[in-house]
Amino acid sequence: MGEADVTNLLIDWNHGDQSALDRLIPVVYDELHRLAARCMSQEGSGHTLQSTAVVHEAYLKLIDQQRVHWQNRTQFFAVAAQLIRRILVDHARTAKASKRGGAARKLSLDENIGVMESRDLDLVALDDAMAALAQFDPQQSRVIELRFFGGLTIEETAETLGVSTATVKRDWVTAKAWLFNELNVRKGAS
Amino acid sequence: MDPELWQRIKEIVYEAVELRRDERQAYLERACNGDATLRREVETLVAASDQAGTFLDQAAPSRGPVDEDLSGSTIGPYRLTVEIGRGGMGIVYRAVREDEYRQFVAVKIVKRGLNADDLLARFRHERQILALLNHPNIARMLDGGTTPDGRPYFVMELVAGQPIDTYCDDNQLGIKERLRLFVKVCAAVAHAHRHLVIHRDLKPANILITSEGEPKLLDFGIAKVFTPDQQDGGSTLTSAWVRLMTPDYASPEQVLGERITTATDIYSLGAVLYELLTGAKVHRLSNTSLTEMERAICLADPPKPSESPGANRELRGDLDTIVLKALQKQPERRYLHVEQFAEDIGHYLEGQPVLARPDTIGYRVGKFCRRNKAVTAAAAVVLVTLIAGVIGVSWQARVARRERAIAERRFNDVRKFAGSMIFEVDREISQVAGATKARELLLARSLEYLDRLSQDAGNNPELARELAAAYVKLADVRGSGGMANLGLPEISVENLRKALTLREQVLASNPSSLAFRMELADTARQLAGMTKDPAEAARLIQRARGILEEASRQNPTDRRLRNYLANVHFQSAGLIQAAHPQDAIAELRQALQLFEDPTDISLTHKRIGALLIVAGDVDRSLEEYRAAVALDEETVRRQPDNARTKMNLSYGYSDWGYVLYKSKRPKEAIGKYLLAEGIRAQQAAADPRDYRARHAMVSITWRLLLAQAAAGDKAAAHQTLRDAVRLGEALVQDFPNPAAINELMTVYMTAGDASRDLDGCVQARFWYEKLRKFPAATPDQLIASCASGTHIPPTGQ
Repeated sequence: MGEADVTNLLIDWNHGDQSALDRLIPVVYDELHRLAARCMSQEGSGHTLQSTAVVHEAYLKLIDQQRVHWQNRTQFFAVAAQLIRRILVDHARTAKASKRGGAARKLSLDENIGVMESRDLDLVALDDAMAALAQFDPQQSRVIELRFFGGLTIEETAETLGVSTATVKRDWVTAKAWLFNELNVRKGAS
Repeated sequence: MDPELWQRIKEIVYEAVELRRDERQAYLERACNGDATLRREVETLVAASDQAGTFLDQAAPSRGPVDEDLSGSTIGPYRLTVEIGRGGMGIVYRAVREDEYRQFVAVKIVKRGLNADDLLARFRHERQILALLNHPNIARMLDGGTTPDGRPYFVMELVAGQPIDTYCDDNQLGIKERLRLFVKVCAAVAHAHRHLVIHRDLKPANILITSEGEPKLLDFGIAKVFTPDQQDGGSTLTSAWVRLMTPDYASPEQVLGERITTATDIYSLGAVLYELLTGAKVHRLSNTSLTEMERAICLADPPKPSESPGANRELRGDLDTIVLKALQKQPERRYLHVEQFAEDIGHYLEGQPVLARPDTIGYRVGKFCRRNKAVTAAAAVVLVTLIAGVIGVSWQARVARRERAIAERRFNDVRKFAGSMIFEVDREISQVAGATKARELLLARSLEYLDRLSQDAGNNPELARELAAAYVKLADVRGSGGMANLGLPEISVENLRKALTLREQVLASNPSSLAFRMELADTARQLAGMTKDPAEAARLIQRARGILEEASRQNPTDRRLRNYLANVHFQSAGLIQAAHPQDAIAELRQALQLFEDPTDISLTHKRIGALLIVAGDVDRSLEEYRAAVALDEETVRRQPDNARTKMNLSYGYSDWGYVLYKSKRPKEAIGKYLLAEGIRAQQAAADPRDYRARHAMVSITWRLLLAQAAAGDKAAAHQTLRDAVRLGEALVQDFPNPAAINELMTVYMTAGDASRDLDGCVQARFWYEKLRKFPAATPDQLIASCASGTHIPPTGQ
């Protein structure tokens, strides 16, 4: 599916055609997945940092920018944020499963040093904590998703969720505090 | 949590966070109104908010849809007056410097959402190179920094001019005038190439023509800042960047994310010239679909300039050929360098025959062409010499038929020089602590040019052989055994594979050569040690063993051969030691018989000692370490400035200490650990970017802590504990990789164990709790074991 189609779907969706979303998601998902896989295979900084680059790249690739209004763009990023969260967390979960138990002290000779891998230790925990947050404040969890995984600004997030920027700011600051606390203090080991 | 309660908590927390710290208590008092549970919850979150710092922020760079107009604002000493342009990277303002240097400049402010730290770090690095670009036709890069909201900005010479395309049209320049102007542009680009700067984004908008008719090239080196090379690591933005480029002038290698060379600029210049001559773009891109763009740029042959609608008949023939040569899909089939491109245009202007030939199969595979390619790459290698300040050969490797003999001679000089760069210069630098990055840069640059040579290496075994050696060298600095390294084992494997392929080719050219056989075997052996695939490793080591044993039968007294074979035994021991430790010891003893280098002998003793301790034979293990350390001490005495041998000695001390600790002789262990620590502290301080030294420093500190705790030296242990935590946290801060994180977890675990023995459970708990932020940790188990008095052995999983 070419980029013109995605653009059309996005415009249709924005005009109220919900089925357009169903057709849009698989295309965007595939593209994100391909891009994410490529990012993850490269060494460098953590995935989370790359996630926004991935989303932007997918956007530039899939969407005819001249035809899409500002509002359509936030819609795209909103969908993409959700998808990239799923991709990255799934990846982190798999990576974690394969090195479970690896936290033990290697009290042995110190000739050798382990290999570098990307840092994805906290992503699964973050995802779990976001799910817990969504239980009592779904909007706040969305704010984190849009901003952290989708790379949206406060203004764009407000636009997407249809709330004021003041609300987004408040949700962002307090959700961060709650998640930080959850990840660093309360949360037991998995 | 109850959603309604949470809404209340949220309000109060947000209010409190926004307040000054000294106002908070009073506010919370009032807001919580005596509800102790609420108060506790709120206070926890306010504290968390304070601690959270940049938590989650970093991964959420705002991608601001519209960058606000900053006209009128001041950044550093520059007052922005009016916007003069915008592009993929950001907005350019006209600005005036308001301090005593009152000066008009152009300030480019980078878009939101691009990582400021990375960009600035690369800019600082590039700036030194850009400073060399002192050319009347290149706009000077003056300054750079960060805006108050953290966006990088670059300050450039302000150029009053018109983009070259509109200038030519407005002034109704004829074909010849356009060509003369274009030749000046080429001269500026050539100047930059001589200083190792590739523009990467040449397009009419970056080529301004002043009212005097002089070209000024903008944004030189900027694109480099945005697109780190693969070798520089961290290439997150590279492909995103390509999408920001104007596709009309992007080369196939840019679209495909392949290596950028000076030929990339030649392509873009070709695209610009095409447009100047025909008024049309090379590719008729109907929309900006990526697939279509890729297809057009990478596959479709551009129409001849003379065949574009309304084209001047003058274009037919030589000008068609010249433009299409610059626009070849494969970089090596374009002009060798910009000067050659310009010279050919000069030939056309003077009515002389041009160098470019219509593109035929016969021409393409012609020997002449191939030879010239090699010379280009060779000339490029000369650039490496300039950067190193070791100018041996001049750039004047102009390629024309009459100068071919000279060029070939130079080519050989250059090859020799590159060899010297990679082997001699590198060997000197490698001995100096702190030079890791410099070495890598040096080797990567040399290799970049050698890669171009390697395209011609197919039927040139000598060249293939040198290249293979260069790849092996690079693999070495990139992370294989022993050297200070930057922790990139995958790249090492990649380079070794390239070397192996080349060496197979070399051997095929002369299967009886002893040297070729040995080199192939040794590379196979090295790769066996690096690859993650055990089957491949076994296959490679068998191959190496087969080759070398046969060669040894024919040349029983060859010392290098003995050494190579010893390495195979050593490597082979590593592959089997987990499953068959006794067999591994036997292999290592064979290696001991063959090795002559004291460093190798020492390492072999250490390995045997390690296997013996696993087998529980402490006394014989100590013998091995004593022998190893005696050799290492002797080596360090002979080469006191050699970072590598010092680290080897420190490993000897540390492992010796470990064996002593395991055999319940903690006081003796402390003695050895302190010796190791002294060396590592010195190395880590000399080069804080040396991951291996930093990691080793953390490792020795917690080992020392365990020994001090076991010896009951409470005061020393407390001090060491603090050191270990500090060093471990700094390590993870600087190198956030799993191995470092694992090391920090080990520190916390060790700190907990030591505190439990020295101070009791409450203190131990503090450290064990730290493990909670790591998903795979088992703090509950440790806390429980402490409370119930059961002891988890330190080696426990």
